[in-house]
Amino acid sequence: MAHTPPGQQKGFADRVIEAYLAVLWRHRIAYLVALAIATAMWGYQASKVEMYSQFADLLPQGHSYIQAYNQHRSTFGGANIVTAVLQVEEGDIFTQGNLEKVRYLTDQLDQINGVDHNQVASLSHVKIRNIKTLPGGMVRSYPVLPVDVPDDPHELSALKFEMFNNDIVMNKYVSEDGKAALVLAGFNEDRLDYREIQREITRIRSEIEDENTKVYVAGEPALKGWVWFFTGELFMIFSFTGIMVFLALIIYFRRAYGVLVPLIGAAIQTVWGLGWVGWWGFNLDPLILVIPLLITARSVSHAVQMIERYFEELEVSQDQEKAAFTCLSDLFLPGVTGVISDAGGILVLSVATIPLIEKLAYYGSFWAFANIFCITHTMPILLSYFPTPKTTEHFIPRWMEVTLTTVGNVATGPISRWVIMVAAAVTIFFGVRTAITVPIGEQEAGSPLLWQDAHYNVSARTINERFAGANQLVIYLEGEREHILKEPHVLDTLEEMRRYLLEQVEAGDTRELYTLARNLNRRYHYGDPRWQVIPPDRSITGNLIFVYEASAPISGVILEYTDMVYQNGQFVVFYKDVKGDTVREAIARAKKFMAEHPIEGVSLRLAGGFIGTTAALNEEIDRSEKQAAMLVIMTVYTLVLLSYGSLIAATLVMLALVAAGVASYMYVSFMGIGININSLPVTAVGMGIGVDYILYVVDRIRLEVPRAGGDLIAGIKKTVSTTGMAVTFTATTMIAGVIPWYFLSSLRFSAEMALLLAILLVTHWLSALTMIPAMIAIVKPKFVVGQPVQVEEEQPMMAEPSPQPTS
Amino acid sequence: MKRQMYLVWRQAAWRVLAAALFTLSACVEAADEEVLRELNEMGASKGNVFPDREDFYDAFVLDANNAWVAGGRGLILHVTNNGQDFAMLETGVQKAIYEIDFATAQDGIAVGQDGVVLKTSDGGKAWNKIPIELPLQDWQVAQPHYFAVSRGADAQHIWAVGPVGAIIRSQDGGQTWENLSLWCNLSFDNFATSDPADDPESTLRLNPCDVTLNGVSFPTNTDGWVTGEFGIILRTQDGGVTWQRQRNVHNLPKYTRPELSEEEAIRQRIPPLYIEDLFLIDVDFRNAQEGYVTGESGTLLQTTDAGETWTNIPSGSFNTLLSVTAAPDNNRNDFATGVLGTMASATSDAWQLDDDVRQHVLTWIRTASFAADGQFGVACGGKGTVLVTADGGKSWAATDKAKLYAANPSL
Repeated sequence: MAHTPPGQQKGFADRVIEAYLAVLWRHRIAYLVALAIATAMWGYQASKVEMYSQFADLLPQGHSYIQAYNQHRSTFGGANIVTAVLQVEEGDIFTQGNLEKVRYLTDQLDQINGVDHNQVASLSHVKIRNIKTLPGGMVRSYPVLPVDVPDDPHELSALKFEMFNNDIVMNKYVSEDGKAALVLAGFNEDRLDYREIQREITRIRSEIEDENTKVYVAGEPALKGWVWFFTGELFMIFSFTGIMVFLALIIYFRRAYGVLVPLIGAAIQTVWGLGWVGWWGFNLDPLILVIPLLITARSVSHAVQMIERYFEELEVSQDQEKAAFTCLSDLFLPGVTGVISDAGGILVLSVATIPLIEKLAYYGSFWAFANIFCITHTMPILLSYFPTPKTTEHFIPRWMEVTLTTVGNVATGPISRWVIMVAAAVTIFFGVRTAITVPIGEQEAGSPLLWQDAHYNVSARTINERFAGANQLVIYLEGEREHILKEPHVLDTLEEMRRYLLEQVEAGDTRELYTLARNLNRRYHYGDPRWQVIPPDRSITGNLIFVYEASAPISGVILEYTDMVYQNGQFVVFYKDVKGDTVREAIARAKKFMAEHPIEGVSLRLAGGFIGTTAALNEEIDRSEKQAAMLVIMTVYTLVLLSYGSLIAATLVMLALVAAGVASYMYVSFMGIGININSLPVTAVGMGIGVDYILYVVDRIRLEVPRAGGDLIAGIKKTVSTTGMAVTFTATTMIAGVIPWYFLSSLRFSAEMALLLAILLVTHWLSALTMIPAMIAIVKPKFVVGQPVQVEEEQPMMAEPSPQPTS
Repeated sequence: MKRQMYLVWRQAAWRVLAAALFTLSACVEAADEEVLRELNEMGASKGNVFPDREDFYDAFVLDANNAWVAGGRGLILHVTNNGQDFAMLETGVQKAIYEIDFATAQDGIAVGQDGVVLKTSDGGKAWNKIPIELPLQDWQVAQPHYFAVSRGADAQHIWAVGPVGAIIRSQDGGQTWENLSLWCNLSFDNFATSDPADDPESTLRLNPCDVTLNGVSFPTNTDGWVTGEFGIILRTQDGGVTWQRQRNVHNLPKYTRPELSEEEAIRQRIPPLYIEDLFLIDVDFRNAQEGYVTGESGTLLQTTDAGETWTNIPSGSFNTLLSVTAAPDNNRNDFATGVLGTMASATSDAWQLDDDVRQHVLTWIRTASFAADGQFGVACGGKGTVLVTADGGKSWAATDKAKLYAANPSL
């Protein structure tokens, strides 16, 4: 029988598995041929895979905010915006040279491929205008920065103070100290060449910067640009990981088998995975490239289990084919269960309606599922055909033997097993509590993808210190009829909302129709500030804004505030950062105000801008992260329940999984990373990263206890020293592979995720080798101790009768 | 026994699952709800007053321990302790306060946006909103504001002016008001405070006067001036019942900038300057003979003959001057303030700009007011700007925004 411990009654499932494996074994050649054909086909599909990023992939399309955003972005522009700041160290920007540089920066950003030219703005842009009323009432609109920048100090001084006194410019395009100017450039949201964007931005910076002038650039396209910039490094690090895994396998197995077979399996699985990506026409995004690597690492993990078991059996039986078949039959059920758990754990991420995560869930789950064919089936078959190893002695490092013996003793000791249980209970308690309260969204200003001293984060801080804020929340105004946005009752409510939202500390300023109208009204009255009020009639307001629009050389100047018929508009709030708490309070304030201040004839609708889209993302992550974690646990629980027909087995595995998996939540919480679109898949996948360790150990205990004559403790110790070794091999190999990222990566995200993965590998290793044995030693579950004792004294390691004849 | 243990474990397993499901489902969006709960605990959403960023439209200094600044959103701050301490006074209105005036530390009056007239008799602890139910022209298409207020020689006589030729007068310290709003012809030559058509003997045909009056100054209970758009300078000698226009202005440059050549003016599309084109803003008389008028483009007009002749004098700036303060005696200087951080003071022979203030105040300065000793003064302006001087305006110190912010206890 394939899996049922010796002497135990075979169930239907066991008989099916046994029959299936017998057929498989008889047709191994055919299987390998089919595998080769399939791999070739997937290889062809893999050649179509492209790696690119698109902003739209980050937006949960089903979320109401994104639906509103999609509806209005063609009119009011998107949220994929670069914010660049030119800053001088000495003096201010009001010199001819510096102002020309601001113009150059604006023009150059405008020329980058993918820029939405309607979303470019700066003090040098023609659409940013000043209004002046001349004696006699003549109203003139002129660009804030003249076409011919003056060199006369008096004219420059006048220019400076005009800008300072212009609410449209001050604090939004010119800093309060006059040392910095801000340029905005919105980008399209479809596929962009972020590498080129990064190159162009770097070029522009190098052309403008000198000893006294610095250019700071932030915003999603710039961030993506940096990620792409480091993508080359990412491949170097991945290669380094491969080398480290390679070396670890050599050290452990000291045979070509032990090194080549797992790598062959991993290579085949990678081809399948990439082929699936290509077949569906998905793109790989460098932001989450670590996940496919992690999935591939799991294949190495499964393969190492197989090799280890193969050599273990070979040492006893001295029969290569028998050892290979035993390896297949003994590990088939835990292997398949583990692989399906892996795949299911990734597939559940599809509960998120974020395209990036959905796509990852679809291709990642298949990528993981491919292990059933590429590893679980293929490895034993390959081993049966490979040349017989010259030496069949199973190499066991002395230190590992000592370590595992000690671990086995501690895990089963009458007191120490209780200590382990208490420690596990405490971990689960605090871990689950942390998981429940783990902050959603960014926890620091800037991006956690990059180190705090990275140019991008320095830029983000500089921009937010000097200006109202680079992160916009857009609340859309949807009127029932044209011209309604000019109505005084609408504008008055906007003013109330403006004040309420600006109470938040992180809120820097607003851009909305109320401020524009009152500012224009003042300007039409020779700058007398007492006229900073909304006219009592919409026709006067309309006249004010019409002159503003009509006097500009390009149309659409008012699109920053309203559409051309004053029916739909936008209310923009600038925030200093995009931290989870900031976003939550901004949205909560907006919701509260909207609920308490309905406007006759106008609906307020959330939300656009980077804050709005991030809020949608965070809310979606908040919902899907918990659902995904729950579903991962449920998937494993169900699979174990089905595999072993035991609630106790399922519960023990689940508890061990939770105890190990919560480490990821504790980590992101402790490190101040928070759950965001980047860390979500890692924490979700990390929940089950070592489920195979646990399953292999549980299954082995189930096999070893009957072999030990029903001696539970002896069976557990035997498991820890055998399967425990394979688990240790796997875990340490993977840790050796990922830990260099921490030291090599310029991307903070990769570095921290590597550390997280290393921690998760350790916690799953600990969970599998201490918690599972301790729980089984205490509980003495029926699925382990309730089996008939095996009476095969001479060959305690032979779980199976001779394999089926080879074909 | 084993069966019992098995049952217990199975039950425990299901309970763990159920508890996990319940806990996780219960905490979905918990963080959002927590924020919302905290906001709800703070009360209903409404636009708050931020003293550190409100626009201040007027300052009035009685002495070093009693000064007030008034601004947007009904904000009035009581300034004490030589300008070091600030306390927000509850006015009960949400409208901007444009001008404020105190006869004593207790008796004050404030006027503002949308016809707001407030009166206090206890130093500002309580403000009474004075209802003004006057037929002040057609306010459906204009702004029913009171931009300026002035007391006469005693505390009882008060005038306030605003758009659409609005003039109101109180002769009982602000308790009751009468309408003296203007009627005029289209060329702004003839003015009256009631419709001449009501007088069967009058041949004048006037309309409600659609002219914005920006400033008012009454050095006595009968002699007063108002200023406004279209170069309007009106004088009354009977407490505001009749008004005569003064337009004898000398020394006006051909263009707002004297150095501008005709060619350059045409190139820049700058029209020639006429008195009728000027937007005049403030007026202040130190006595019934001497006074100033300010306006756009740095216009500063001076008279020493009760306005029979006005002379345009260099203010040192081409920025719009929002206010002028004529010192009542010789122990202090005359001051003018304006947009773009403009503050100018009259020395013995000319007006000079305060360059230090201009460099540091990046917004408009609405007004400056001084105590009777001429040393302690407060100036105020946009975006929470409050400047304090202790040396008669030779140097000004900006008030810490945090101190202003703290003045509103609800923040």
